[in-house]
Amino acid sequence: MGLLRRIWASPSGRLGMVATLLVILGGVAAPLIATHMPNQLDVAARLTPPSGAHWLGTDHLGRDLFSRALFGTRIAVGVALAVTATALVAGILLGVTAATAPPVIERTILAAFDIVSSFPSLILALALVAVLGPGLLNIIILVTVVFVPQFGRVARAQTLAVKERPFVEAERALGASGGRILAFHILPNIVGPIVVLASMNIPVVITLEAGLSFLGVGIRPPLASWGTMLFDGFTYLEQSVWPVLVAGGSLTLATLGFTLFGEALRDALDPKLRREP
Amino acid sequence: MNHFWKEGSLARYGAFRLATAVLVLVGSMTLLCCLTLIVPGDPATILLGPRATPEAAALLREQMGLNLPLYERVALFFANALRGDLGVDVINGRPVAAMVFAALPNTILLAVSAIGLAVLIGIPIGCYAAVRQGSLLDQGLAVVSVGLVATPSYVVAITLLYCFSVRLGWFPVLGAGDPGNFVDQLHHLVLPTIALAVGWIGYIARLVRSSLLEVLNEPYIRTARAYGQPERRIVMKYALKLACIPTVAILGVGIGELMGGALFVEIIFNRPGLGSLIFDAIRNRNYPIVQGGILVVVSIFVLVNLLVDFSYAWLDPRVRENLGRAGGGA
Amino acid sequence: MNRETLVEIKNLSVDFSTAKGALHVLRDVSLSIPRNRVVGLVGESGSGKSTLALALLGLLPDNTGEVSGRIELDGENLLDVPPEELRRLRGGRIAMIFQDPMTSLNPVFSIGTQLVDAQRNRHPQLGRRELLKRADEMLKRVGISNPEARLAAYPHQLSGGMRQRVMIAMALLCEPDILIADEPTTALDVTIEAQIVRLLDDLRADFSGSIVLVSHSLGLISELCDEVAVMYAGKVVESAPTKILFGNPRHPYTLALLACEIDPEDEPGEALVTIKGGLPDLIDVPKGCIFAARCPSRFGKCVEEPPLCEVEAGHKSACWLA
Repeated sequence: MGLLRRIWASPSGRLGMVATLLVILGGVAAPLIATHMPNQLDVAARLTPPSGAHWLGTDHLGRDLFSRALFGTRIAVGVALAVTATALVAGILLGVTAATAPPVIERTILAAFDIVSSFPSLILALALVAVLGPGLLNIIILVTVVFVPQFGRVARAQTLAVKERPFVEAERALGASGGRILAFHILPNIVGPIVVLASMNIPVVITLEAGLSFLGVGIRPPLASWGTMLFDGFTYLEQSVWPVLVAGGSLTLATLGFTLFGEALRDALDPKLRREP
Repeated sequence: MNHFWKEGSLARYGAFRLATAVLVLVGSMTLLCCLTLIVPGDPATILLGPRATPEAAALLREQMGLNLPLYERVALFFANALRGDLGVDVINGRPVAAMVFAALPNTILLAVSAIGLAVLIGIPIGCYAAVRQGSLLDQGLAVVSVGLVATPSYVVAITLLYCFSVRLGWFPVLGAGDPGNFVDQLHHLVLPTIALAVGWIGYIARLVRSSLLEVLNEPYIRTARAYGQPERRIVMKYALKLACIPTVAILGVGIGELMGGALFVEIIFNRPGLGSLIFDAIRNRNYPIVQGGILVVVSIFVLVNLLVDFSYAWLDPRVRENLGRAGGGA
Repeated sequence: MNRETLVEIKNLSVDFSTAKGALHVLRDVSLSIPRNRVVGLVGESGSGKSTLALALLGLLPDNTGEVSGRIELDGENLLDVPPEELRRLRGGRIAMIFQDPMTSLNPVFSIGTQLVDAQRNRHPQLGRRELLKRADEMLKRVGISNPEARLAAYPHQLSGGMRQRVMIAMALLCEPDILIADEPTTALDVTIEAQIVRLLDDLRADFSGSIVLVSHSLGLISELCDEVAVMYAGKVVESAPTKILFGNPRHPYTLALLACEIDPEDEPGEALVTIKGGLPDLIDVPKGCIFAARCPSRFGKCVEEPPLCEVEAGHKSACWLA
């Protein structure tokens, strides 16, 4: 609770918290709030500006933009959370393994991290999409691959640091099992930096997923994704600005909110890190 | 010779990095060679069209080396790539190398002008914010830069396109301009450059601000003050050079993000370039282009990161000496 | 030689603002620095001697709160001088040698560039070439061989002792009226320290200005200084010509310092710890004599604060027993 209060204390943290909550709430309560079904067509009302019937207007197929934006939240935040959680678990497993396993395995894991992070992330995602093909599950898998090394490196560094501390060595000398040391000493110590990294990662994943969907190789229609909405809106930009405005606005609100929240969380958890940009 | 390879030496690190770079290239090409195993509809059929005879398709497959085992295909690809041959476009039969290198200058122009703009605007803003810490501009920067960094580049690009091209009509909507007409090309370059640079301006400004503040607290800055050097010289000469080092480091990592951003910008502004070339190829399953294009992108990425290491050495004599010492050992 | 005052510090008080309140780093310090002499400032870390040095230079840190009193250089109060004019005084009439030569030079500029820029206030009319030539000669004078190569070198290529010689050269190049040396040998190891002390001793003869030597080492002070001021918890507790102070110390704190410093070859700083107790709280400063809590000879009157009084010609002490 103290942590949330510290985040709330800074104006940008407050802004981030409100925006994040708004986005998450919108996603969770989408079926309750939405005025239309996200895929309900109304060909008579194509590309209309906001009105009583369609609060934020309609897209090129007459679908309600407000409802689609709400359902798009589920995709954006859902993918971001799924990817971050998977990358986090895989990263911790690989990182802790690298720190504790024999040098051969450690070097192999580190080399794999190096290779993956040697690619520009969007290019790597595109290459993987070319292999796996688009679709919700594939997007989650391939974006996860892109982000595992960051978590893995932090987990390894923290594990190495904790491993050398006297109390861990003492406990090992007393015959504690590796699992016990992992659960009671190593994991609690890597949680802080990993949580910060995870929260900073969410907006990056949202941007990447929407970007891939924008390029038509991400989430497939008819699922409502902000990226596909943006692309459709872009195609009809000269006829109506509303689809772009709604999709781009939702996207920016989410990334900005999560970024501000993540930075405030980082500052609240570790004031020493504050000097870094 | 032995001490040259000792644990932790720079030469060893350099060799390791080079090996990693080669591994990255081989790995990515292997991955991309797998494409043909998985994608539905093999390239030979796409190239010849649906009415081709099975014999003709088989012949072409053999010509393209598609029936070789994977490792032989990878080896063949690299052997060809070293000779400058990246294969042929499966749709129009043109050599991939020619297409990639025709598109490359557009992308490099875009990337370089965006980075140039970001540095030109970002560094002075960062300096000003650091020197006038807590001023209105400093506080404004803190808010605006997060906004700039957090907004996806494609949202920025579409916004600019809508405001300045569609609505105001100040800038052309599509393309890269007439070849040979420099002014027209420049006119076409303005919005894409700004779209790509906006996020970086915020990022660089923040980075310069924080590292400058850190450097300004160092004892050697106090020395410069103790000798009555003008604040201007202290900030612009003594502190800025050190504060730029992290900025350069970020540019090395960031070149990857920049290429991703360039891809969106090229598509949105319909500019010819490497990004739009690769993207179209992925949609058309034109895999030799994907393979050749990504090879070039990854090579550039690796190359730029090596350049960044050299510019470290240029900025920081401590690093320079280490490099020199490692080289002398050889 | 007549004692002629160059700098007169009158009732100088400096506060630092901290989260817990104002830290009274200097309290009512009065001190005169004579022309062409070497004055030692001695005391434990935290006694305010470095702050006093920085105040002379007009370079108090950013968190400085209230400053009162006067620092008169030839009668002009430095605390009233506008910042731009004060800047011209630094590296002109006042120069400083810092404690840690490892971090006091900018790592990414050559020694030559830094020595050239440091002289610009003193010799604004000279070009880079002349300034480099002066730097070259000065490096020779401070005992650096092959100065031409050193000018092109970067700080990390020089040893600690060499860097401190560069810092000394930098200060001397400005031909200051007053040279402040803040613990110039503390960061160096013992053999290098001896070399630097010898160098300072040699240079003292041809140097035409005053020197303020800040140190916690009485050994160093006794070797180099004409006069000494002993500082404790932000106050000057005793001041006198060096011979008198060492021969006839009148403040219990000075006595305690001298008792600690039996062997001058000892690790500096360690010996001082043997005075019982710690420094008083400088935020909520206790009433009465500031040293009373640690003083072996305190008595009833010590609940009142003793003023810094002349006990004999040129010898002042702030103790009721003096």
